[in-house]
Amino acid sequence: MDEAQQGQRQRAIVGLAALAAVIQVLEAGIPSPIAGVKPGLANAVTLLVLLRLGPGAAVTVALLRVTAASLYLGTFLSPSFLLSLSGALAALIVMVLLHTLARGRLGALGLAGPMALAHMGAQLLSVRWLFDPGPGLTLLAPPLLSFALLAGVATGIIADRLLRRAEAMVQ
Amino acid sequence: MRPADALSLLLCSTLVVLSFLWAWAPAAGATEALVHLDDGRVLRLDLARAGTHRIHGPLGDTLIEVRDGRARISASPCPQQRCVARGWITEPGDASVCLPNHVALSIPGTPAGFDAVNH
Repeated sequence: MDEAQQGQRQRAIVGLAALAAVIQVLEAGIPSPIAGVKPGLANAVTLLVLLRLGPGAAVTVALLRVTAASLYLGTFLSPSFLLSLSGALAALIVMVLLHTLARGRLGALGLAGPMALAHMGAQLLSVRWLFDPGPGLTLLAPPLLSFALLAGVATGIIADRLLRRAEAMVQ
Repeated sequence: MRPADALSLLLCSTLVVLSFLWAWAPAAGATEALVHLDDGRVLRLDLARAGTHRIHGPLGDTLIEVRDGRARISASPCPQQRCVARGWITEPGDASVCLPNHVALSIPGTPAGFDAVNH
C-alpha cells in the first residue's frame, strides 16, 4: 500500500468514526420506552468498516466512536460510558472472532445478530457488577436480549444495503 | 443472505429462547418452615401439610398455622402481637418472630431481593 492509499484509508477510518459517533449521539436523543433499549445503528458503520477495510479498522472506528460520542454527551468515564464501552468491546470481540473463524463466509446479517447479543449481554453483566445484583435484572434479560436481536437484524440489513451500494459505487 | 448468515441468526434466536427458559423458569418455592424453640430444638414443618401447631413458651401457647404452602403465627399470648401482625411468610429468608414467648418461625434459604431500594 503506497502513501496515498494509506492516507485515503486513514481519512476513511476517521470520517466513518465521526459518522458513527454522530449516529450514536443522535440515538441518545431519542427517548426510549424502556431503559436500555436503543437501536444501536452505529454498529452498522462498524460492520461496514469490517467488511470493507478489515478488523483493525473496525476496532479503531468503534473505539473512536464510543470515546467521541461520550465526550460530546458529557458521559466520558462515567458509568454509562463504561456500559457503552463494555458493550462495544464485547461486540467487537465477537465480531472479529466470528469473522476470522468463518473466514469471510458470514455477511453483515450473520455478524450483526451475535454482535447485538454480545453487546446487550456484556451491558447486562456490567449493570449487575456496577449497580444492581438483584433478581430483577435476570427477569429483564430475556426481553432485552429479544429487542437486541431484533435491533441487530435491522442493523445487519442496513449494513448489508450500505455494502451493496458501496460495491456498486466502486464498480 | 448466505447460508452461514441464516445459521448464525438461527443460533442467536435459539440463545434468546434459552434465555427466556432460564430466567423465567418458576423458582423452586419454599418447602418447609423452621420453628426455633427456647431449648435450642428446631421443629421442621412441611409446608405442603396444612395444620395448626401448638408451641409452649414462657408466656403460654403460641399457635402456628400452615396452609397453602405458607406459615404464620396465628395466635400468641404476647402483649404486642407483632408476630401475629407479621402475617403469612412465604419466601426463603422470611421470618416471623415472637420475642416475648421465645418462638421464631422462619423459612430457610437466602432472601432473593432487597429490603428496600432508595434512589
